[in-house]
Amino acid sequence: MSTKKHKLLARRKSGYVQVRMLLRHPMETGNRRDKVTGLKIPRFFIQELKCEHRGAVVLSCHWGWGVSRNPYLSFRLLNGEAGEQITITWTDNMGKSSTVATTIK
Amino acid sequence: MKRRELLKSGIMLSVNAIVMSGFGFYSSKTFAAWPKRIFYTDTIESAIREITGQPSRELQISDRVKIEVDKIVEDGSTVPVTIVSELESTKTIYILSDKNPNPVIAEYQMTTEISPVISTRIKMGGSGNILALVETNNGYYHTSQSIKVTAGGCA
Repeated sequence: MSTKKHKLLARRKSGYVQVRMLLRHPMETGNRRDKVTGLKIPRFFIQELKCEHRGAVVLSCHWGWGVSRNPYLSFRLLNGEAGEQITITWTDNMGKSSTVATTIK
Repeated sequence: MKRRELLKSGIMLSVNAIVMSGFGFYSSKTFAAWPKRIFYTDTIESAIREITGQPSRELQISDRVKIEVDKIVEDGSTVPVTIVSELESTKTIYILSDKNPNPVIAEYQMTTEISPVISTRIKMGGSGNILALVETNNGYYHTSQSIKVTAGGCA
């Protein structure tokens, strides 16, 4: 999976770094039916997501299928300097992992 | 002398271990596996019982947990929500929605590196309540907000 379509931004504000993320993922609930075949569309969602900064996990998330399609997340990192890296890694319920990284601006 | 120092460092280590585990932020829970039990509950009541181990009526309501959201939304499949916790030692934030087949939407495990202000977008099965549940060192607190969804749910 290309990481180009995922977006991750980290901007310095007064007193914190605003981290904003937009991933591309269908987040299927497993309750929807295909309009043509009438078959249930299998549940497919991001289960775990971790945000790392300075080699440590700063935020760790567990998600269900109630998070919207193409998940958006924003949070405030307290101690971040410009030029440092922020990495977000996630795993979906099919066991596939992906990573996206950015530098603080 | 050497033996004494060894003993001392041993004691310090075990004290550290106790402090760290009591602190909670970096305990094994942070790296725990996806909590299947809570995501498969089908009512708010059972979800709260799974998460906190106590019935929802015993849960404390706090105005220091805030849900920032539009009270009327058009599209139930993407409802922007911001949860702000002004409680000290906020460890975990849960977002629940009572109109969804499975009410637990997300769990966020905080560290001291993060300010407890989390924004996301969630699905709502229809007009109903969003509940923010916060775990602190002093127990669980929650707040809820009713939302009117004018068109379509999460399907």
